[in-house]
Amino acid sequence: MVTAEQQSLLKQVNETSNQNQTVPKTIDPPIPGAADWEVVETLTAVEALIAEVQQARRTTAWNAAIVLFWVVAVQAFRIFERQHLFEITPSAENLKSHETLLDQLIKLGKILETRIENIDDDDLAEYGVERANLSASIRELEDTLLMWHGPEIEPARAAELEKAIFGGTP
Amino acid sequence: MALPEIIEELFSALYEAQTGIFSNKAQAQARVEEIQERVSKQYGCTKGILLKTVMPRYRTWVRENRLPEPPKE
Repeated sequence: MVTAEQQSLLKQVNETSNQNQTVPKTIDPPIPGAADWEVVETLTAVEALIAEVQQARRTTAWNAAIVLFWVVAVQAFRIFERQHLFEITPSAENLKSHETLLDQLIKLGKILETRIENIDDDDLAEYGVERANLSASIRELEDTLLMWHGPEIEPARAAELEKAIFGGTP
Repeated sequence: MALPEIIEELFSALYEAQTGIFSNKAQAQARVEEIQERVSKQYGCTKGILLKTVMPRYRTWVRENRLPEPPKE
C-alpha cells in the first residue's frame, strides 16, 4: 500500500526525471525530413543555375568586347595602310610591317571566330557583334594579304593578264 | 585612260569593304566576292592572281579617287 507521502515523493522523482530527459540544445541543426531536403535541393539548383547564367553573360560580354577591340585594331591597321602604302610609296620596312600586322589580325580573328562559335547570335547582337561580319572582315583581310603579299606571278602570265584586263593603258 | 567597268566596280567594292563600318562587313564583302568571281571567270584566273595583278592599279585608283587631296610623295 502506497501512502500519500510516498505518492508525493514518487511524483517529484518522476518530474525531475522528465526534466533530465529534455533534449539539450546543440550546435547541429535538427536532421531535416525529406520535404525539407527537397526545398534545399531546389534552392541550391536555382542558385547554381543563376550563377551559370551570370557567368555565361559575363563570358559573352567579355568575348564580344574582345571582338570589338579587334575591330578597332583593324581600323587602326587601315589607317596605317592608308598613310604608309597609299599616301606615300611604301618602303620595304612598311611593307613588311603591313604583312606582319595582317597576318596577326587574321590569326586573332580566326581565334575569335572559334571563341564565339558557341555563343547565341541574339546574345552577341546585344553587344553589336555578328559572326557573319567577323568572318567577312577576316576574308577581307585575307584578300588584302593576297593583293599585297601574295605569291609572285610568272612574268609572262602577269603581262598577259595585265594586257587582257587593262589593254594598253599605262 | 578609263578602267574597264568591271574593274572600276571591283575597286569601288574593295574600297567600300575595307573602309566601311563593321556592321556592314558581311554585305560589303559578299559584293566584293561576287565581283571577284565574275572578273576571275572573265579573265580566266584565280582570285589570288587577279588581286595581285590589279594591286598597283588599285593603289593608283585609291590615290586618285578616294584620298581627300592629291598625296605628296
